[in-house]
Amino acid sequence: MSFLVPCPQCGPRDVYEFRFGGETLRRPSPDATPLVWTNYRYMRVNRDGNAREWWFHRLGCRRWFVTERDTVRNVVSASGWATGD
Amino acid sequence: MIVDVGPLDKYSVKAASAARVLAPLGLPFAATELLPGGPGGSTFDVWGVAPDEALLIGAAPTAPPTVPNAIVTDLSSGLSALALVGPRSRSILEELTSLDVADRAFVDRAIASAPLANVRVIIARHDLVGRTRFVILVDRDLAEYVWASTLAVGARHGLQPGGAMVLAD
Amino acid sequence: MTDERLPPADGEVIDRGSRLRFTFDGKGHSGHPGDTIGSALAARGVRMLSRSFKYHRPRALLCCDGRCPNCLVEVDGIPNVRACTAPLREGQRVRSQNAWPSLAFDVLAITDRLDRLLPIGFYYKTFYRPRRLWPLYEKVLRRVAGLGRVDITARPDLAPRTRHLHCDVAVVGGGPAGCIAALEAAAAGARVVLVDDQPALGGHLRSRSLPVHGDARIEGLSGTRAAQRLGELIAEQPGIETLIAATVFGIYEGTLLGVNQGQTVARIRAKRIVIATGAHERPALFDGNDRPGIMLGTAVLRLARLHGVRSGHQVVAIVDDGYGWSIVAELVAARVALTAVIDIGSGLPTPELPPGIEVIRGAAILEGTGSRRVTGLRIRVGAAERLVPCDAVAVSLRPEPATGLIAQDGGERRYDDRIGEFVAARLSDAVSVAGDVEGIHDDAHTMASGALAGLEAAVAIGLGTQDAIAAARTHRAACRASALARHGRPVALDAPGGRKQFVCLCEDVTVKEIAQGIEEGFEDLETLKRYSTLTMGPCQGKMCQGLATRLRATLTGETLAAAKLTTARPPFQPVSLAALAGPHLEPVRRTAMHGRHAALTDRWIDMGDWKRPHIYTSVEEECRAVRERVAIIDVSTLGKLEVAGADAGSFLDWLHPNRFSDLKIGRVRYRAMCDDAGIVLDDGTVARLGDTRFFLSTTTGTIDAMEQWLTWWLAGTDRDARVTNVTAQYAAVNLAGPRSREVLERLTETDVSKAALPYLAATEAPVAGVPAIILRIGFVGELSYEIHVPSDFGGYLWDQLTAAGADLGITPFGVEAQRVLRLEKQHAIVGQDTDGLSNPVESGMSWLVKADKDDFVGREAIAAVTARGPQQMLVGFELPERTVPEEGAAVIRDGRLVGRVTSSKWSPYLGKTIGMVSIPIEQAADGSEIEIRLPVGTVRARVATKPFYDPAGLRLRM
Repeated sequence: MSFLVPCPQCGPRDVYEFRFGGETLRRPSPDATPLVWTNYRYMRVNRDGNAREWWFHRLGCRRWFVTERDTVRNVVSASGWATGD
Repeated sequence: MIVDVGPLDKYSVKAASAARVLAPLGLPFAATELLPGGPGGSTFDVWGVAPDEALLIGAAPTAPPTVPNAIVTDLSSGLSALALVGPRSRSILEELTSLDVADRAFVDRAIASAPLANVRVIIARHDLVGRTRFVILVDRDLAEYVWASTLAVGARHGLQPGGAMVLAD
Repeated sequence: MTDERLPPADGEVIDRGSRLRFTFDGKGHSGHPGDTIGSALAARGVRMLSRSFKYHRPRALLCCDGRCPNCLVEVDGIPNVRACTAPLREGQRVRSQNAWPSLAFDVLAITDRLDRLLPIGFYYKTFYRPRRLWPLYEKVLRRVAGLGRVDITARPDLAPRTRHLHCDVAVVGGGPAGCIAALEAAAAGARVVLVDDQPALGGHLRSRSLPVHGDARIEGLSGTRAAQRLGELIAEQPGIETLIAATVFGIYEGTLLGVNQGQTVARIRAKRIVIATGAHERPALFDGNDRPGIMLGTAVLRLARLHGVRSGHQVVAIVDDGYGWSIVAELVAARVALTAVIDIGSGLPTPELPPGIEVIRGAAILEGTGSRRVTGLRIRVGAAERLVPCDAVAVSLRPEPATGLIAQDGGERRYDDRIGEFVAARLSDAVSVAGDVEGIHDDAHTMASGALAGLEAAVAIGLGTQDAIAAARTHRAACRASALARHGRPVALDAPGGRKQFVCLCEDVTVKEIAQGIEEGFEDLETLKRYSTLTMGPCQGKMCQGLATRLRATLTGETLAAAKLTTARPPFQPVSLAALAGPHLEPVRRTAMHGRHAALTDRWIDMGDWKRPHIYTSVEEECRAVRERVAIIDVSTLGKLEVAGADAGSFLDWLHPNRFSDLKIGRVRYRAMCDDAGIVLDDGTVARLGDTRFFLSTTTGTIDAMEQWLTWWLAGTDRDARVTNVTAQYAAVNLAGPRSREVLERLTETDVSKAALPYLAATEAPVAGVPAIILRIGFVGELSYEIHVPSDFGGYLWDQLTAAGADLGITPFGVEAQRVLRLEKQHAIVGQDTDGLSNPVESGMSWLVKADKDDFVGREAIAAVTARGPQQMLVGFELPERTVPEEGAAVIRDGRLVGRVTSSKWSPYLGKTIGMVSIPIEQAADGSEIEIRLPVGTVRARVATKPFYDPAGLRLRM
């Protein structure tokens, strides 16, 4: 694995500079059912195609940002700062 | 040549927008650049680290800056500064970091956060009287390791440790 | 010892004025600087270099290009070195491999006659009965298998290096196509890296003497001069970095190339890659086609031109198309002693040749005769057979494109009917090909395609002009058309018969074995490969993949158009693990007081990147000092975060099951943080130092994760809170013991009496003249102060405290003592006493959870656990005897595992074994008995739900 992730601050960097933060998810409201909470905690879409994901640039600017990545080709098509998701 | 730069006072300034809180103080800010402090007698260089953070770095002793609407944290002890000076600096950095430090890719006064010897550093290019120079900020607890690693890798390029005098004009 | 040197000639790379001495299997030899080990031995008439893997047949130089297994030798203790490319150095001790007792007389050569007992996949058929002999078989086979020897006690000084290079265009291959591609790209303004595996640029031009045609830069020059000229042009062109004697061993995601140059690995990030790796000749198939002396045509040529070495005195060439004839012309020009050329089917007219060279057309080659050296070729012309005597053979069949890297990058290779070879059919976006690797062997086309590839690569990244490209495209199309018109029809693969027609030389796989494998049902190339091990040896298919694919197609009746090659994977050529690992750069974190500790002890413990003193004197002494007097420990390794801003307090409320917005300034509170699954992530303390300023501590080693956790929850929100990692900014000590206050009072004018600074109070005050944060918290259960100062003053503070407490018997205590002391108080350590499934309720932290809080991270999960009731509990246990169960030991009941030991120590102060366990709730009552498994047997322990020491907690509130 050696693809490039474009950090909004630092530009394209080797994937190993980052920590993968998982799919972007919507946190359930406190009174949602246990099933909704379980899905939030343990179930992921794991799409083969375009996925929206969190990354942390741990060996760089140490900021969190969000990307759109084609998970089959490992190509990141867009990245930007999170916006109140 | 590798030099331990100091003593320097370093302050982290954090705000929703670093540019907006520093501008009224005459402190120019750019997210990936090292800029000298503006008029008004400011003694700090402004290192742009991220849109929401700047490092104010000045020769000690300084008075802690007052920056309204921002959080200012003293990191003077927390960061160590090393300088790599000389024409072979790039060849040495090439063996320590995957950051592209070529002349055209990393221009004078550019700043980047990147891995160096497998740890995160903030590295700025700040040429001195035409001599290539890179200033590296690293967590204090890792400074000795980074110094030793750089010397080890740089040995075959003729890297020598130098004292503070080297940095004077 | 014979001398097989040719007279000096232009183009040779050896320095005849100087001699280098070396030994081969103990015998002394010499050569010249510029020789390879192989060429120096060949110059002395030493032919046989190794014995083959399975049949131990004599093997000699074949490719002279670093691609086949025949010349693998051991050099100065390093096994599997290719003699044909390894530069000769003074004093080298070279030894042959895979032969015993000697290369000349190898006992295992008997296996050559036993080939009927060693058919394809014989190990699946031969050695499984009687089963009691398996250990014997294993022992014998283990000794016999493999090629080189490894001296596991050797410690070579390898000094590996890693380089990170960046460029716009990476050109793989420094032959004519690659050089011209590099020149064009750089002239258009691109940053270029050019990689070639030879000691000098020029590729196959270096060993050619006839004039080169097709590009103005080198028009009419001899091959040698053309190569030199290209090298000069490259050196003069700004923007090209050249790596020679360097091999691209892999192309990886993100257009990353891995390059191996000696003990250096260069990682190159490019935007575009031009693959100009050329094409390589392959062996012919006939019985005994592996005899020493049967070589590839370019090998004979290279030896003659570059090293001035004769491969034989009676050389026969085998050709099958125009390419072969051009090699013949070069061989003649290089004064190789050609006596015959066998054209097995080119259909081309015979060119002008010097007298004395017989040309035989339309022959089928049946056998290579001889054993230690080829003595002749038995051929059939029409109905008649004859023997053509020779002492060397130059096999120059149409070469195969070296497409391995293309396939690694995800490109596809397909058989091209017109060209008769497997060529690149589909390339990934960033990759293009140029030169002989396209399957066309014509100088003009090679250089035109190189120029076009270089220009296209530059234009693709925004440099260069479209006009130049249009012209280059037209020119290249013309060259291609012209070359294809002259391109010979593919010659069908001929496998005339015989037991020893070698397809895979590395693994000794013959035509007979492949036929047998297919008959047994292994028809697919991938399964046939795995069953026969063909292409799985040192050459990794470079010599045999094309042959094997064609043979398989012939035997199965499949067309080549439908055939696929086996999956190509890096590394393309072997790379030493030391080079891949690079220099040893393992981060080490040291506190500001590191030097003080080093002067007192050499017993350290690694905690993540940190080095911490483990024990200074003894655990018993150190614990006693803490309990009875005063002691000091360096806790600078604690993670520290400043959380500041108007919303800092509410943000901390959000993150924790308890509250912090109501924490008063000057107070400190214990914190434990959970995730939304209710799992305990970390614990530590929070001190409020101002209205909007909080000082957080984390467990040593979790700071990175905690900084990430906190900043993630802030990302994209408009919470007015900022997190700053101040771990390195502060050095910290814990001053602990009943007399600790006395020591502190000597160093500060601030009132630190019990009334002014009670348990869980926090203040900022100077200590020894240095600004400090003082927190009255206790981890070890005694009156104690956690003192944080800017780390520049860390050593100074340590010295001052040590001096101030000297008359009170102050002692440093280390991590081990701290572990025991905290265990005496049953303080859980997150990550030690909790794991990835621990929630606060079942870890004894339910007192932390505030039920009347608004939503916080983990609220729903914790509520669920509370509602169903805890199923297990983290509690203490003790044993009167000094039997210390291992941490992680199983707690069993009725023979079943029901829990585990999380911490376990012998307490010298209390005189008993103490620890913590996670066990089912029904067994967790104070005083009940549990059974803990030991390495041998079990032991019974008593549950203790209250701290073993000072259960009321009076000591730390002093």
